[in-house]
Amino acid sequence: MANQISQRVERQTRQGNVILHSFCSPDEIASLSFRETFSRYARYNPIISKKETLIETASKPDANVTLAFTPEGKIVGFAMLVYPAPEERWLRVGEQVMMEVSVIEVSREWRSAGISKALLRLVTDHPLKEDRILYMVGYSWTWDLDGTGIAPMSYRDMMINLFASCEFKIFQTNEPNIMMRPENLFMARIGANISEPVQKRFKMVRFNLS
Amino acid sequence: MSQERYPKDVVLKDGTEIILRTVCDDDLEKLVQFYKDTQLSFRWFLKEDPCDPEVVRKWLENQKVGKSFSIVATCQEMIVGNAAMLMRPYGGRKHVGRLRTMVAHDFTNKQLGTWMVFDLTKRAMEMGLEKIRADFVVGVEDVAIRAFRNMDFVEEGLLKNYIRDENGTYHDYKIMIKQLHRVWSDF
Repeated sequence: MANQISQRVERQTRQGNVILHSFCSPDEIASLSFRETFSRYARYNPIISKKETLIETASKPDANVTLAFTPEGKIVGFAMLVYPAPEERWLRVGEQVMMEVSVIEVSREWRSAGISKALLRLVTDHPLKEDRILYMVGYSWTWDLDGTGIAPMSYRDMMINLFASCEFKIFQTNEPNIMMRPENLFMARIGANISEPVQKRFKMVRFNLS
Repeated sequence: MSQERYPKDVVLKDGTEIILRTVCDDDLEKLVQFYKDTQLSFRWFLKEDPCDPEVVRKWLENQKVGKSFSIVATCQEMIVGNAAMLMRPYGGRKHVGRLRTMVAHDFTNKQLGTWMVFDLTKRAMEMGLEKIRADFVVGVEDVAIRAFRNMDFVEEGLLKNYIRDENGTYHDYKIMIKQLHRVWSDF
C-alpha cells in the first residue's frame, strides 16, 4: 500500500532545500541521518531521539511515517500517524478506528519555514482518513517553549492553528494527562465515513464513560 | 491570541450531555429563571440579587465591555450552570480574576462546576491573568471548597465569622487563590 500512496514533495526554504516524503519505509529511514539535527537541549528533549523508533513505527500496520530531510540525507523533521497503544482509552472507540498523530517535530534550525504544516498535511493524507478518527494530544511539557520563546498558551494557539489547517477540531476530554494543565490540548478529525454510533462512542470514551 | 472555541460539549459523569457556551443577551430571562430556581441558601451569598432582571442585565453588559467573561452550561436548551470570571480593568487587581459559579441543584455532584471552572481557567490564562480568586462560605460551600482544592486552589485567607446566612447565623469566609503559571519552572 505504502508505495502506491507515498508522496514526495520538494520545498525551498531559507535554510536550504528540503524533501518531504510520506509513508517512508524502514529501509529509507535507516539510510538517512538523524542525530545531528535532533540534539537535546537543556530545557527540551524531543519526544523521539532515536532513529530506531521511526524505523519501528514505519513497519506497523497502516502507519505513516513522514520525513523532511535535506538532499544530503539529514532528517530535519518528522511526523507519525499510528494506532494508539494498547493501554490508551481510545482503543475502546473500536478496533482500528482511532489513529494518533503521535509526534510532529521540526529541528530548531529548520523552524518557521512551513515544514510542520507540510509534514502534517502529508502524514494525515492517508487513504483511510475518512474511515478513521485522527487525533492528537498536546502536552505542554513536551513543547519546546524555550526554543520558541513563547508562553504555553501561545504555543497552544500555534498548535490549534496548525491542526485546524488539516480540519482538526478541539474536543473536550477528561483524560487525566490532558486535564493536568489548562494549556494541554486534544484535537481530532472525524472522518466522513464514521457512523453516528461510533461518533457517539467516541464522545463517551472522551469522558471515560464506556 | 485566539479565544477558546465555543460551544463546547462535555459529558458529565452520569452521562448527561452538556453544552458550554458564552452568555448572550437572549439569555436574560433564562438566567433570571435559573437563579430563581436555585436554593436561596446558595444565592444568598452573591453580592447582588440575581433574581432581579436588572442585575442580570448589568452582568450581560459587563461581558460586553470586558469586565467579565461568563459562560452558561445548558442541557436541552435549559441553563443548568453559570460561571463568570470577573475582572478589574484598572489598578492593582487587574491581574486577578474573580470566579463566580452556580450550578443547578439537580446537576451538583456531577463535575459540572469542575468543567466550568476548568474552562474559565483556560480563558483566564488566555487573557493573561496571573491569579484566580474564589471565595467560599465555610459550612455551606464545603463541597465546592474540596473541589477547588483538587483544582490547585490554595487557601490564602480566612475571615472569621464574617458572613451571615439568610437566618442570621455567622460563618467563616474562605479566600482561595489559584496561581496561573505562564511558563514552566527550571527545577
